[in-house]
Amino acid sequence: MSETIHVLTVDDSASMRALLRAALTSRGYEVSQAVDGVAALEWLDGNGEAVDVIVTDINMPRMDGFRLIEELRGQARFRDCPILVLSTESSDEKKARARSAGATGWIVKPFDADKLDSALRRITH
Amino acid sequence: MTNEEIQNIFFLECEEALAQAEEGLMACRAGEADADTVNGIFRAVHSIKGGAGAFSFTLLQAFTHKFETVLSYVRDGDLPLGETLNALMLRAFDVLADHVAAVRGEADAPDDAVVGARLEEVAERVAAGLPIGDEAEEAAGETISIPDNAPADDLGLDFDLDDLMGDLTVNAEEAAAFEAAAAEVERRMLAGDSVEAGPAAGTDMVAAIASAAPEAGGHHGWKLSLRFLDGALANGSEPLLMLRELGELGGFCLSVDADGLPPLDALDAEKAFLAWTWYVPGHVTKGAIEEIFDFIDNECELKIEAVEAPVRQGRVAIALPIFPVGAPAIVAEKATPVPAAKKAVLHDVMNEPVVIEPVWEGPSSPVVATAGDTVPAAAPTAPAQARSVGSIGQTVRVDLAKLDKLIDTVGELVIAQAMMAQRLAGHGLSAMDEMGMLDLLTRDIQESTMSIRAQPIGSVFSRVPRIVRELEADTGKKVRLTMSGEATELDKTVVERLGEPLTHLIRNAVDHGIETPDVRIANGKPAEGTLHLSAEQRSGRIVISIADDGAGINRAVVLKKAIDKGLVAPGAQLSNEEIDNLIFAPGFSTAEKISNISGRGVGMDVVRQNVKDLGGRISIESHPGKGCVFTLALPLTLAIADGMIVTVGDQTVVIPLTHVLESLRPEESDVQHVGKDLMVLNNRGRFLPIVRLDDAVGALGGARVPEDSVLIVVDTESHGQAVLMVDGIVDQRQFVIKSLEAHYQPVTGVAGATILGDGKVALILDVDALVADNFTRNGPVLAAA
Repeated sequence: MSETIHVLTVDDSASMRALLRAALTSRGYEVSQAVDGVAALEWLDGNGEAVDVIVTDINMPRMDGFRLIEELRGQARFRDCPILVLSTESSDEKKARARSAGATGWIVKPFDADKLDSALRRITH
Repeated sequence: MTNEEIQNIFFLECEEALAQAEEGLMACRAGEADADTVNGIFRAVHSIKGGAGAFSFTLLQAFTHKFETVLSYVRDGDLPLGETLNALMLRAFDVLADHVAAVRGEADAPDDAVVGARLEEVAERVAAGLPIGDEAEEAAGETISIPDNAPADDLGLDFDLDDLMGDLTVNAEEAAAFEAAAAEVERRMLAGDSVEAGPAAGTDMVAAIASAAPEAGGHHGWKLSLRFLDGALANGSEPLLMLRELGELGGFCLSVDADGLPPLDALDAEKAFLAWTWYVPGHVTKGAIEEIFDFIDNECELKIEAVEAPVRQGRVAIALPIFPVGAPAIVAEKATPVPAAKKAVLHDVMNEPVVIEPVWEGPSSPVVATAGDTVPAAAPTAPAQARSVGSIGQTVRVDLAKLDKLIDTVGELVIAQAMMAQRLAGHGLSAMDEMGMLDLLTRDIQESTMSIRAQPIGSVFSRVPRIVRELEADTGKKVRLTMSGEATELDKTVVERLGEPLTHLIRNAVDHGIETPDVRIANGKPAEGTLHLSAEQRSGRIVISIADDGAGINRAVVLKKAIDKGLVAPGAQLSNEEIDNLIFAPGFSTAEKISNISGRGVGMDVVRQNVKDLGGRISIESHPGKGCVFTLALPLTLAIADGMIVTVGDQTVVIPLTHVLESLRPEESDVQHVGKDLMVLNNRGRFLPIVRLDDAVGALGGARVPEDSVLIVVDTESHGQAVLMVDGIVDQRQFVIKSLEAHYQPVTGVAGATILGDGKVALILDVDALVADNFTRNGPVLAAA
């Protein structure tokens, strides 16, 4: 299978972005990155059709991951786009919130690159 | 990017996060915290925790987790801010800063047992609905067992991909079981088997994963082949609504056959051209599907087949935003042919590969394929990439040596430009406008390159609150610290070397300046002292001031000490300012008892030397009983300095302006001869030794008598004030410092060299060394007579 999966990662931490970029590009993904929910929405506004899957952090300034997911699910073109939460949080309450906001899944940081890879491939097929 | 580089990004983030957290915590302590403040602290600690986990800094991660838990209670309003809590959070912050220093390899890991246990205890009390306060404080003294790590996550199996994938926190065995279970589900699904729990190992996992697999509820599903005929649109039917209804039943599009689509100019908007293949899950009855198409039975070809393999939704739904809001009502109208290259092949959904073609976007967007066999058609355009780069932070990492080389070259450019201006003027050529413009531009370039090296002073200021907190704890004094001008920028090297003198001045202010609360109250002052730290740019220099409202300098004590130590002759008449400045004299200590705070073997003389090494000056303004202000004036950069260009004989030399106090043309009566060679200047009643600069630098043909010369009064570190005798002052301006050591060899009395506007090299004097050297040769001179 030769098609490239385009991932948008949303995380306010520069090191986390760098880690994600390194992990995903080396596994053949095309990676775009945004620093928070607002930046993600802005970017998606012009490039939304390019993205196959979104990986977002929860705790971010300006707009957090929950809001971002809600906003995206409110837009028809992202209604079915897989959105993965990647967060250090792991409480049931947060997960329930993410789920009701429309998240596809939740992975707890620190992430294992291979596991993330297989999760992404799974939810994009 | 290497792992190390990424790790360095994390360290930078930690710095930022610590600064943010500290700022927030100080606001909490000052009672100025709002929801944003607390959220900011939480996020800062949270982000450190995230990175700590990613880089396996387990101690840091464990501690941030405890801290974060407490902060989350504060953020959620379950834990009110109060003095006890503020103190604990500040202590936790300090330990956190130590942990960060430890992972950076700058220190050993701190002992966080006490603070960690206290944080956990607070969290437990909140969880149990108990108040925290004095009773909790007492409990903190008891032995508290510290759990190894964060509690294991209780994961919701229906949702967590961690579970699907095998969570990292589970052990290897469990992870393997997860993998096996997932593979089993995969196999059964592909085989069309039921994925109900079976007797195999890892059964519950299989069931859990199966239930997480979308649309796997029925034994089979429906494959719909659908083509609307021309009459469907002509009679007012709305195919889009029907497709939507299919979607509401849980169906999704597998493929669209657009082969029948004519070119745009031949397109008849009243006709339908597309054929669709849809999948509808098996729990929907065939009747329910047929019902949707009841009304246009004659105008559409519909074939419904039962399919064996369950089809999972995913790729198709992403690739095809089937029901955009406000999408065109008539399918054919907006449908556009899609190049074959943009066709995406979806495998494993059906038994045969299915071709997917995106059909339309929103009304205003062109049709774009999401992914293809070749390059993705919707690869980010140039502006998009620019934005995505910007989102990472608009920074470029540059090797410092490269940057310094650039600054150096720009310095040469400035010199070359000055030389050219001088040459042109010498030939009577007039190109003033052009030269003026060139001058402006070169200066612009110079300033810009300098600013690349600049750093906000905030990185030094940010350490101060902790120092003050520790001092408060050590001395029992209360200090309210305020800061301003943290964003003021100055040279990176200056910033880095400023920490030590600044720390000492802060210690000094709290230890010696600010009084204990009872003394303050007795003197009619508030019990809490204030310490204000400020930075600002003023006429090409950075001025930093440290102002306290303490007791000020006790001049009687200082003078007595100075006389006792032989620094000042008994009976000498010194101005208040001179007495205050005695505290900078080498080896001077005013502490009546040696405290373990400022008395660390480093005196104010060292502070002054540090500041001077940075090309700066320190001054003091004391008001007994009211307080004291230390002011540091620092250059914006170390590469450029202000200097006075003077001539002496056949030489032109530069005296750094930081040393120059005044210059004067003496009367004959102002100069007195002492012994054979030595002359002293009577400078308003003080006798200052005169150093003949022509002798000192070996210049020929200098003026032999002071009356024909210009005398420059300089301030030196080791010998107080002295006078340099020169022929004349040429100019006073900024000059670019070149290292003599790098190009030649170190020379006593010479700090470096610079190139003058006429292209000549001029030596920059090391005034301290020059005067000291002269005194050594000529014997000691009375500082005051």
